[in-house]
Amino acid sequence: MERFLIATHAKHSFLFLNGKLAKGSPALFSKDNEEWTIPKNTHIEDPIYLIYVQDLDEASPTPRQKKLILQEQSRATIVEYYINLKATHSIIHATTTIELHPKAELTHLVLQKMNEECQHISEMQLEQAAFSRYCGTAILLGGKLNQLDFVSNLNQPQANSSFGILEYTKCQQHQNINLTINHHTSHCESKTVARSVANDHSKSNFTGKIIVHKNAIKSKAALENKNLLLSFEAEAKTCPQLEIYNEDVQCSHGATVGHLERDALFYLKSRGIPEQEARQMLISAFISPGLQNIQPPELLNHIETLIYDA
Amino acid sequence: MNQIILDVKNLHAGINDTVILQGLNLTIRAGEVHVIMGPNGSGKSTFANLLARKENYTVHQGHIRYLEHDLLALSPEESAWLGLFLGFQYPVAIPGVTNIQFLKSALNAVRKSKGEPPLDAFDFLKLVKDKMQLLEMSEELLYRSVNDGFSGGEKKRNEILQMALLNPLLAILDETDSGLDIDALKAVANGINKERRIDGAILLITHYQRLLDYIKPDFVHVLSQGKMVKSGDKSLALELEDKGYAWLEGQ
Repeated sequence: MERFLIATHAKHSFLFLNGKLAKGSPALFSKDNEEWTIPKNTHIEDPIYLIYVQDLDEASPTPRQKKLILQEQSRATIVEYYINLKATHSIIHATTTIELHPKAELTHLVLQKMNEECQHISEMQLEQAAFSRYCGTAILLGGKLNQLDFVSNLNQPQANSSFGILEYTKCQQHQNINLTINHHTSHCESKTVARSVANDHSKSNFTGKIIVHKNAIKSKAALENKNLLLSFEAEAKTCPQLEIYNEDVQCSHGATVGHLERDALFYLKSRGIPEQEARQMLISAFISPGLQNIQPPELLNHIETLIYDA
Repeated sequence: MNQIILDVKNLHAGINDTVILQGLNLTIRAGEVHVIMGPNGSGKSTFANLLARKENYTVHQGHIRYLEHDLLALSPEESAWLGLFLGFQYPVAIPGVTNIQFLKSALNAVRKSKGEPPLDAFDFLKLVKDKMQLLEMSEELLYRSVNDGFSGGEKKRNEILQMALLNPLLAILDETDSGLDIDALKAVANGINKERRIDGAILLITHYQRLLDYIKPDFVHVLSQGKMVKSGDKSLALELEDKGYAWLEGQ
């Protein structure tokens, strides 16, 4: 992580950039206000990090709006971090619009790890053109009250969206996720894998809806939400939904809520693996399907540390 | 006489409120192979699970001593560190945990308990591949999730692989021969014979005499209605195979 600069303090602090860009090589992308554009046919191999640091006490919500545009046949990896360096009572309202033009490919990671006093509201809207690919992950770790509203519009044929979500809550945290995936046209594919781990007295609510519109024949859509409760007081509510308005589709949805499997835990312990380590192994196994979109792979270790150090 | 490894006296125990074992006695010394046979529902698996410290089992009376320890006061992981191993009748599948990760964690946890340094990835891989070759196991099984989608024979071989890696003092094998074809049975029996410790002991729980063609028992016990009703040598197993358990009830 050393090679990426981080700027802080500014009220609307955002930043910063890939080492290559910071060293003054030709700009691979342009930024106008909060609109980021990856030009046509540009492939940016190194991840672009956008790190949002909140370190002010704010009574009123801090708005953070931005737009990411990937023009035709461009390709990029964007990693967004939402953190704060000191404990503050603040409300963040982040709005992100993503446009993927034909054949554009975006690998996207949003990681939120605010302190326990923060409230974080995040709205994401994704617009996908023909043959574009979105490969995204949202990881929600911190904050007292978190809300993620994600709307994905598959607007032209052969658009492909894969979205992984991980919530990891503890103490009195409360998280809401609302997801809507619109298949507006034919031959598109969407896959959503959400995992939630709730500890202590935390609560997690998940609502996910796939809408396959009338003309969207040959759609493939899958939605899965699994919840793991690590305490008897934790709560998970899940509501996966399908609305399908034509006959020629392949769709699936499913949800589970449960505790760690006692037989599996006993099996590991009976081989000498200590209780804590055995639980950790089972939790990692549970969440890993939600993290499979993460690129580059080195980030995964870093993220696992963030999750378990919470 | 050799050192006593396991000493069970007048054990009355069950799961939740149901009493299953009703006055079971058993003494196992170093170097011995014991076999427990008995009809379905006689308490064989209850006894094995109790020895491995599975939760929800209640002991009403009697005691189990393992070496100098009160076994009932040990946790599952502690009894594993002290060299007790149960090969499960129905090994659990754990999707998402790779077999190699599981085997390495288990081995290094047991090594740590003895004050030994952990094996690094290279040494571990070499060790595990050697043992797998002995059991005629495909190396591909290392990279799959633990027991997930394994065939019956693969699961049982995987149990013996764990035994081979952890090198236990007392190996309790609960119906390890069930569901195996003849080749698999030979491979598993061969593994057990090669990996057993001279200073340790084996307790086999089985329905069939055929495993005893490969692993020579010193004692054969018949468990019925929660207690040992007869003990003898290998000839008892042959006689049972011939006459069935009804023969014992008539005695």
